Parts: sequence; structure tokens; C-alpha cells
Amino acid sequence: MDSFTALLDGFASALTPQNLLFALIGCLLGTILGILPGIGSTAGMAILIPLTLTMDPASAIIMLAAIFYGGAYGGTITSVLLNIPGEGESAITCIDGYQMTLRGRAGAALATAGIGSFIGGTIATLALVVAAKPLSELGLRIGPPEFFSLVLIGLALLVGLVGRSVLKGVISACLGLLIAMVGIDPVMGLPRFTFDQPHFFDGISYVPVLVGIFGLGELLATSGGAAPKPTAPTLRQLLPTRTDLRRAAPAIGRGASIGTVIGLIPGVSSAISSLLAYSTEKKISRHRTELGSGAIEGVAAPETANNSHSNAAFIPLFTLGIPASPAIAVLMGAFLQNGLTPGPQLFTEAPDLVWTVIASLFVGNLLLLVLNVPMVGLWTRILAIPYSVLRAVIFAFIVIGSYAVNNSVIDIYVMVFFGIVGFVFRQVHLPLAPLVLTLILGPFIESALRESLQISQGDFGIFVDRPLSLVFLLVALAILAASVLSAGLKRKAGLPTDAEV
Amino acid sequence: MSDNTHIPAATAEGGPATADDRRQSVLPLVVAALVVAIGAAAFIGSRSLGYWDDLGPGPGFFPLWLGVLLVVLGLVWFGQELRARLRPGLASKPAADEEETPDYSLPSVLAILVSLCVLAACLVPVGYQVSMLVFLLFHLLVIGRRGLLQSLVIAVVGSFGVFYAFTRLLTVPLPVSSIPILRDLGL
Repeated sequence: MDSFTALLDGFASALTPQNLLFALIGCLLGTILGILPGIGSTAGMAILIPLTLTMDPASAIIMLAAIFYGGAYGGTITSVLLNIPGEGESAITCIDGYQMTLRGRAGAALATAGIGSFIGGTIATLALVVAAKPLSELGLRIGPPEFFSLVLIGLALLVGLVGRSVLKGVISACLGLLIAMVGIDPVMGLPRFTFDQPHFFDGISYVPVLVGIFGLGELLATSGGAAPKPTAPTLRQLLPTRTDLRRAAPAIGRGASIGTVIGLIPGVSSAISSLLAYSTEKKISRHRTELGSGAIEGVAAPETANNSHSNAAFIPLFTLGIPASPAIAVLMGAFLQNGLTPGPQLFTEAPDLVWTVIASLFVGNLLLLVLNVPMVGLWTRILAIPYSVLRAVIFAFIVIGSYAVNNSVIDIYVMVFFGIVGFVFRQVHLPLAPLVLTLILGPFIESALRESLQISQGDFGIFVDRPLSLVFLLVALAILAASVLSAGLKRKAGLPTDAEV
Repeated sequence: MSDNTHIPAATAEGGPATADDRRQSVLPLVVAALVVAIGAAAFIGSRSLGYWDDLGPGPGFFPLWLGVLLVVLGLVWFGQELRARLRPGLASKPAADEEETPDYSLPSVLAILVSLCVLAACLVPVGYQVSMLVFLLFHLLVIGRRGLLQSLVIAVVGSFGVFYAFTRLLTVPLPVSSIPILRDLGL
């Protein structure tokens, strides 16, 4: 069965009323969480994973994916209206987006961002459809040593590009790996670091850890601030003028290509795509001199790029089993929670599910456009709800969520503990992204390393003897070396510490 | 760690050192020391697990090297932070200032953490409904200073309403009280 027939089948099941409803709920919930101060799409997904525990895997993942891009759009709304980026990827949108708001053009900025996101997301998902089969066949040929080296590239990119300090990035990655060690060891079946608690024999569940680090950690870190109040644009202000569309079109095109290509690289966060798209506009756009003072290109290009990046990031997840960003890592956690391991085998083990999820990406992007853009007025009203009320409700939710995974109170304590961890990480500027990635990939990294060494009977030469693995290792080393050298440059560029979170 | 005591004094020269400044300046050192301690614990803990066996690396192999790495990296970080304090104006301090640390208030943070732990401790004996009702009322009335009626409505929906929705509609079980009298009341 070729990809497009499979995709059509996927559409058939993504468009069932049930799945459509979950995609819709996901988009709405994601947008709401994305708008709330301090909660990005990663935290949003982590907080809402518990809602999906009793659903069937396809619906659960469809809903979480919808929360993911709904959250990204919610972040865009606060960037444009309040100059507060919900996440690193919308930070660059603040520059021109907020300027447009000051000129009374917030509606046009939000609509353009919505249209750009839809086009970018659709193009990237098309790339996923085309690349999925051939890349997953390649992925199947990758053995444990190559997988291990490939993950190192992803980690090197994440540590090197996202955070400003390579040292702190590596510390964060090591801590994530160490947490992943808790439980029964994957090769010998021996309990490790379980503190003699049978509860930890299965390892520490992802959900309380993620909810703690992203949800509670963020709420603690922002506990002193009061939420600012925006004014909502009217529906008429939402319509971009013809000039807007003519000017935005080339920027959207460039943003979509940049996001799709960069999104393919494991470990690079979508903030990098936004940044690249923006700087490209600054170099080659016809209206480059207006950028920074409210030019529509400054909203269209980065918003398109980050959404196409987010969708393209599914390609390494589905074909190689490597999550490209913390948000995708959380989604991978949801796959694992449902007993599915993302990777090339998934196309043969659960083809229906994969293609349903891919089809739902198209559907979700469309839902986001037709629903969320006109509803901007309603979304901004959410910010009028007192923050203390919102926060109390979120607390109730994260407690239920952590408890419901294993029906265990221990998981609530785990969540509180990791809430403190997330809070402290934010205070001392340790990036959270590497920790989340190694936490979820930990068992895979360890199995790959140990299986490789079993194949070679303990000879570490296996990683350099196999040509592909050697190339991956060299690339990873080069990236780390380059990022150590360019640490000063990056500081000047003002990249966010933890771009995805 | 004796160098930490210099920090408040040093800040005091330029003006009064707030509790916040002091915390901010000592926290990275404490966390770096913790990283070293965690690494050391992982190293020691992994030695009993078996480093190498007939098949290749054993269960202790990976944690052992992670422990070593964490100790080394933690020490480097500690050194960097210390150097930045001993020689102000050098090294990483300016970088840290550029990055915005979100606003938090320590009393709120502590209130949140303690209330969550109390809630977790009460869930099994008292049951979800009563514990969550009290938890939400505390957050809405005491911390959030919301009105009584509004708080009551939200708290009842969040406790009894959510319990009903989760146990009946979503079939996700939430804890009921282990005390017989409360359990008989349906709590």
C-alpha cells in the first residue's frame, strides 16, 4: 500500500465524529493553556495527558497533537497582544507583532499568523507523507551503534543550540538520564535506584515528572506576578488587507521551507526556525527596513516557520524514533504510555494509527485556522478571569492527573518533587529541554549502548568502525565543539535559555 | 562553602542586600553542590549493581559513568560560579543578568508546595472530595482572596463535580475515604 492510499485511510478514521471531536477539544484546550501566562504547549500537553489515559491510543494522540499546536497558537496570541511570548518560538513574533498591536493592527497580525501557521503546517505534513515511508525503511537498517550516535547528534544540537551554556545543558541531560535509570534495568531485569519501593520498579512515570517540571514548576516560578490584561481586536480588525496578504505571501513561503527543513534535524528547537526565518526576512525581504516597527513579514515568516517546524518534527519521531523537541518528547511519552514505541517499526506494527495521526495533523491545522482565528476575542477574555482562580483549577488538575496514572498518591509527591526541580532549574538557568529528552529517551539510549557493546563483546571500537556511526559521532562532536566556541556569539544573539519551554 | 558568606557583605557595600539577592547569589552554588552529591550517590549506588558481566556492560555500567560525569561537571560549574563571585565583573555573571528570571514570591511557593503535600497526604484517609474542597477553598479564599460565594461555587464544582465527572463519566477512579463513617456518606 503506498503512502497516499494509506493517508486516505488515515483521513477516513481521523474524520470520524469521535476523533474530530477530540481534535477540536485538543485545539481549544491547547489554545486556552497557551494563552495562560507561563504555560506553553509543552506544559499544556503534560498537564492534559491524564485526560487521555482512558481513550484509545489514536484518539489520545490526536488530542495531544492538537493541544500541541493549539498551545503554540495561544502563545502567538499573547506575543502579539501583550508582548509576552508563551514560549521561545513566539519570542521573535513579539517584535513586529506587538508593534502592530500598538498601531491598532493586532487583528491583521493574528490572522496572518493563523494563515501562515496553517500553510506552514500543511506543507510540512505533506513532506512527512512523502518522506515517511522511505525514511522509515532507512531507519529500520540503523543498528544500535548508529542509533546511539544519532541520538548523540540530537542531544549535541539541543545542548549546543538552545541553551547558552553547554555545561549546564550537559548537566541537565545527565540528570534526565539518571532519572530514567530508576526501575528495572532494560537488559538484565535488575531493580536500580528504586529505594526498595515496589512503586518504582516500573520506573518513574513520565506524566508526574513532566507535569511537575513544566506545569507546577512554571506556576511556582511565576507565582509572584500578576497577569496583564489585553484588549481584544474586533472581527473587522481581524481581516488582513490585500496589501497585507500580498506582502505576507512570500514571507510565508520562505518561512514554510525554512521550518520544514530545520524541523527535520533532531534536537533543533522551533525557536531556531523562527529566528532563522526572521533573519532571512531581514536580509532579503523587499520591506526589510520596516522590520522591527510592525511589518507584517515579521509576523508571517516566524509564525509560519515555527508551525511547519513543529509538524516536520514528527518526521524524525515517526521514522527514527527520535523526538526532536521537548514537546515532541512529551508526545512520545504519550505513545509509550499507550504501549506504542514511535520509530520505523510503528509503520509495520500500527500503520492505521500512524496514518490516522498524520491525517489528523492536516485536520487539526485546518481546525485551528477556522476556529481559533475568529475566536481571538473570546480567548483574550480568558485572561480576564482572575489568575488565582485559574491557578487553583490548574492545581486541582495536575493533582488528579498525577494520581490517575497509576492510582497512586506517591505520584503526587513525585509531581511535587519535580515541581521543585523545575522551579530550581528556572532559577539557576539550567535548561529543561535536555532533561526531558534524555528522560524519555533514556531507556533507548542505554539499550542501544549496551546492545552495541554486546555485539562487539565490550569493544568501544564498534562506534567508530561502523562508517555511519562514525560520521554521526563526528558530527555530534563538531556541533558540541562549535557551540562551545560560539557561546559568546550566542549570548549576543539573545537566544532564549530554554527556547522550547 | 565559606566563600558564600562574603556575598551579602559584598552586595551590602553598594546598597542594602535584599533576601532575594542573597538567595539568588547562593542558589547556583548550592545546586552545583547538589549535582556533585547526586553524581557521587549514583556512582556509589551503581557499584553494587554489577559493572560488567559475560554479556557485556552490566546494569551498573551506565549509572556509574553518569555519576562520574555529574561529579566532574558539577565541580566545574561550582568552580565557575565561585570564580564569578570572587572576581565580580568577570565570567558568567553578566550573562545571568541578561536572562530574565520570572517573578516568584517565596511565601506563595511554600504555601503551594505545603498545601499540595497536605492534599496528597489527606487523599487516602479523607477521600478526594473533602480534601479537594478544603484545598481549593484555601487557595481561593486565603491565597487568592476571592469572595466567599465565588470560592464556594468553584470549590464545590472542583471537588464534588470533578469527582462525579471522573468516576462516572470518564471512568477514572479517584480516591474515596478510608474512614468507614466518611465512606458510608459517599465521600
